[in-house]
Amino acid sequence: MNAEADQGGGMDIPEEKLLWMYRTMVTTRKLYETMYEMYRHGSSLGNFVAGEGEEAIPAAICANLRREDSYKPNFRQTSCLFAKEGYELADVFSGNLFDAERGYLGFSLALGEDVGVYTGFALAAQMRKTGQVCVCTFGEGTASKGSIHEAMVIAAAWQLPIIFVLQNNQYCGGTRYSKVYRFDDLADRARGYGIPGRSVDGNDVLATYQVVREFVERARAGGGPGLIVAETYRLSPYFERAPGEVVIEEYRPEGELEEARERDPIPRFRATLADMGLLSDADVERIDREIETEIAHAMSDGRQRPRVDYEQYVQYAVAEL
Amino acid sequence: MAANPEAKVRMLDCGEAINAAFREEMRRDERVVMWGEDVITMESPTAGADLCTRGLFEEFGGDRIRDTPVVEAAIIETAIGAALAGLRPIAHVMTGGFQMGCFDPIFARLGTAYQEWKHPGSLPVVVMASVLGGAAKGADHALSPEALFMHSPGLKIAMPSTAYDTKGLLKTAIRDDFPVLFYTHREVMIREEKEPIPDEEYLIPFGKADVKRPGADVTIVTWSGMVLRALAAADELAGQGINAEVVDLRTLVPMDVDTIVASVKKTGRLLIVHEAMKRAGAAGEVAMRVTEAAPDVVRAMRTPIRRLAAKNVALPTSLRIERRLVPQVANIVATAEELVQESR
Repeated sequence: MNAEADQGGGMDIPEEKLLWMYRTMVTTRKLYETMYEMYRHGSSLGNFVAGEGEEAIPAAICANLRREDSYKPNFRQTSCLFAKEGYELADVFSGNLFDAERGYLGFSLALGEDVGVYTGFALAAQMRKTGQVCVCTFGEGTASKGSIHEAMVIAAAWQLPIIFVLQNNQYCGGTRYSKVYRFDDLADRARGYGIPGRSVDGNDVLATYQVVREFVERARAGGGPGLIVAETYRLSPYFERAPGEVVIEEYRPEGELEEARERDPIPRFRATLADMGLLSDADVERIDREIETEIAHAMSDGRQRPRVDYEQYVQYAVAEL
Repeated sequence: MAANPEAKVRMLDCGEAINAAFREEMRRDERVVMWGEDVITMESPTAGADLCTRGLFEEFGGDRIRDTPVVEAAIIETAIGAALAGLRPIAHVMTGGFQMGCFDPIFARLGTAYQEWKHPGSLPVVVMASVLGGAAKGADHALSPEALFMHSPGLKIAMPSTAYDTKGLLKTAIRDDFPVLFYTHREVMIREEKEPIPDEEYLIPFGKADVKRPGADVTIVTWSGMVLRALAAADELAGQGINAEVVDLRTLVPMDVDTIVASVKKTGRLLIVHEAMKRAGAAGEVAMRVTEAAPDVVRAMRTPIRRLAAKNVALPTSLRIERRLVPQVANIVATAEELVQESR
């Protein structure tokens, strides 16, 4: 395959969409950096998760979705929702992304139980003949969960407009996927459900874009669900510990992380766009600065938005009954 | 056939009453949809009756009523997603025991997720299942799971004991904007005696217990199929000069504590009976709710609160053994007698 075909051959993608995807990927990366700084300085609690190295996949997905469609990013990429039509950067800092109208139905930290919920969104779309589609992403670790199997069975049985995107970042916690899956191509699973399956280099945003487009168009036209396996690599640790906590990330073989950085999707796409004459060094510099300003504004906007207060939070519980 | 056409009442069994409730609500609101295992094919999503869904597929079509594969978790999860997208699904999971296979979707997704996700809207899902007690069906079919789900913060729970209550409560459940677990009971579903059901629409609110039989000597609080046994026990007790008041809670969440307190104030004795296992069962919750709500009434009781429930043993596929594990009419009679005798 020549380099162009390898890059998805995506020459019918409008220039502005190419640049939008680039900006989206860079914004995603910079968001991780910003949020990690916030985390380190105590602005948020819990464990901080990031998906560095996996930015091409949400960009390729969001470039194919409409406002009314549904998208569930992988749990470590929830901040990518800013790229979904209907959402904006400030939403990411507002602490409240949930909005069925804009197609985000939350996620389950028990991992996997949310996939059936998104399948229900697709079911409602089919019942009401709205033409909406749903793209539901999960990792190769979550892919082992029984609930994912049930969701795929029902999606296939009813030919629901949902695309399952299995984002294989190689590691579930510290467990490499090859220790779990005794076959090479995870897209083979699709055959067992009788739905189309395709593996794609998830670090190649153009190739990923093309596959997502094909699957989304088919689902929108009533052609039913599909499984896309986007092969990528998690450059981030499984999660960042709070300051003072020890980070143990000894599960990667020596040199693997460095090698993976060579396949980082952002510099890779930057080089492609430069080859196409769409991006100069000056553009790269300018875009970086613009995005940093956008993030700073979004942070201050988002944090000024009204928070869910106690009364709102408890009003739907059957608290005293 | 209506017993009295003038009164516009029809004699229905519980399956027919459920069928009528589904039909009326699906006609009233096109967002009401349903799916589950064999909902269309076997016409018996709440096993024990044949008529629950008969004719619905023909009237409402395959977009609104669907048979699913054997995917209990996906049945609940898709109902959540479809509800968030604007529909009002009724999700059938044949039995309370099968709900252990979708415990996370019910307890954690349905019961907590919409709070956790800070969704300021609604989550109108009805989950229907049967408790198949009294026929040696074993734990997977006969489990009565109310106590497990009462612990989840966002689930209402209805467990009616008559066709009349079932219809009125089911219509209320379908119109509720938040999740409801709705349990039918085999012994209620298979009753041969039909009940007069008004043709005119009626709704029964949640959180309103019903005094199924008034009495002054002892209050028996129960729900679901156990109401039938409690009423039979009350008949026997009456022969011995003990007038038991049978309070059918009808909904566990919300719980009508006021009606229990009013009854206990009158009788001075409280026996709580349920089919589920006793340890951490709902009877403990009932007793504490009464105690917290009316400590003076409890202090003035003639004798301490008593509970009668199944032994903490897995339900068997032997009726001979099941009858020794789960409260029977004779056990209710004997316990009520003890309560009265120890405090004459």
